[in-house]
Amino acid sequence: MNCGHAQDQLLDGGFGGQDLTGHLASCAECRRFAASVEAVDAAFHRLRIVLAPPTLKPNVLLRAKLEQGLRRRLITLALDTLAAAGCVAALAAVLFWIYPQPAVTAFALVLGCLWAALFRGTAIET
Amino acid sequence: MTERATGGFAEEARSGRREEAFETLVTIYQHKVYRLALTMLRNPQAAEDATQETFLRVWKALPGFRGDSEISTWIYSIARNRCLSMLNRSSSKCEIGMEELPEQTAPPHDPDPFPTLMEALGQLDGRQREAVALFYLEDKSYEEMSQQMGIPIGSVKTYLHRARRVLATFFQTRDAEVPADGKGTGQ
Repeated sequence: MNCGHAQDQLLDGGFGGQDLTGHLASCAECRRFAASVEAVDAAFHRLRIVLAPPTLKPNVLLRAKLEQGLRRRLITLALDTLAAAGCVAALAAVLFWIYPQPAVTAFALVLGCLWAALFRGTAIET
Repeated sequence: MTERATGGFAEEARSGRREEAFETLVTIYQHKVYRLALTMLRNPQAAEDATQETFLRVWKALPGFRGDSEISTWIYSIARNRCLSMLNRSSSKCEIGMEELPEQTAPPHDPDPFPTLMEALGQLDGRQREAVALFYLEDKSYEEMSQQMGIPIGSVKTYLHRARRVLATFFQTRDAEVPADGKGTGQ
C-alpha cells in the first residue's frame, strides 16, 4: 500500500485493515495525516455540543409575532378600505338615484372619500 | 417525536395552535440549525441571523407543510439554502473573526477548539461545507446526503473526501506550525 491509497482509505473512514495498519506503522507522514483526520473528526464532535445563543429563541418568537401582527394589520387595513369604498359607492348610488345631478353626486363622493380617508387614518392609528 | 415530526406540527399549526407548534419547533431545532449555520458561515453573528431567517420561513410556511418529508429534513434544507444564498451573496461578510466565537460554547476541557476548525472550514466552498455539515452534524447517510444535495452518491463521496482531505491537511499544517503541546489530535 502506498501513501496515496492509505490516505484515501483514512479519508473514507477506514482506520482498520491490516494493509493500512502495516503502512501506518512504517510511515510517519501517514501517521501524522491519520492524526489530523482524527483531529478533524474530534473537532466536529466537539462542535456538536455548541449551543445557540440564549437570545436566539426569544428573538425568533418576537419576529414571528411581529410578522403575524403586521400581516393581520395589512389584512384589517385592506378590509377597512374595501368597506369604506363600498360605503362611498353606495352613498353615491343612492344620491344619484334621489338627485340625478352629477354635481350633487360628485360633492357627495368627495365627502365620502374624505370620510373614508379619515376612517382609514383612525384605523391605522389604532 | 418522529411520529409528530412528519406532519403533527403542521396539523397543530393548521388547527389554530400555530404559535405553540412553532415554539416547540424552535426549542427542539434551534441548536442544530445554529450549528449547521455556524459550520457553513463560520461566523456566530451570521449564523444567528441565518437561524432566525430560517425559523421565520418555517413560521410562514408551517401551515402549508404537507409532511412529505420529515420536518427536521425540511427545516435543515431551509437552513442550508439560506446559508448557501448568504455565502453566494456576500462571502466576504461571513469571514470570521476568531475572537467572535462565544466563549461559553467551547467545552471547558479544550479552551480553543473552534477557531482552527472554523478557519479550516474557510478552505472549503459552500457545497463542501454543506456536505461536511450533513455528514458530521446531521449524521446523514450517503443516500440521504445525495437526496438532500440533489447530486449523485458518487459526487457526495467526492465532495466529502475532498473536504476531509482539505481539513486534515489544514490541521496537519497547523500542528506543524504550532510547537508540539499535545493539542489537536483528539482521541
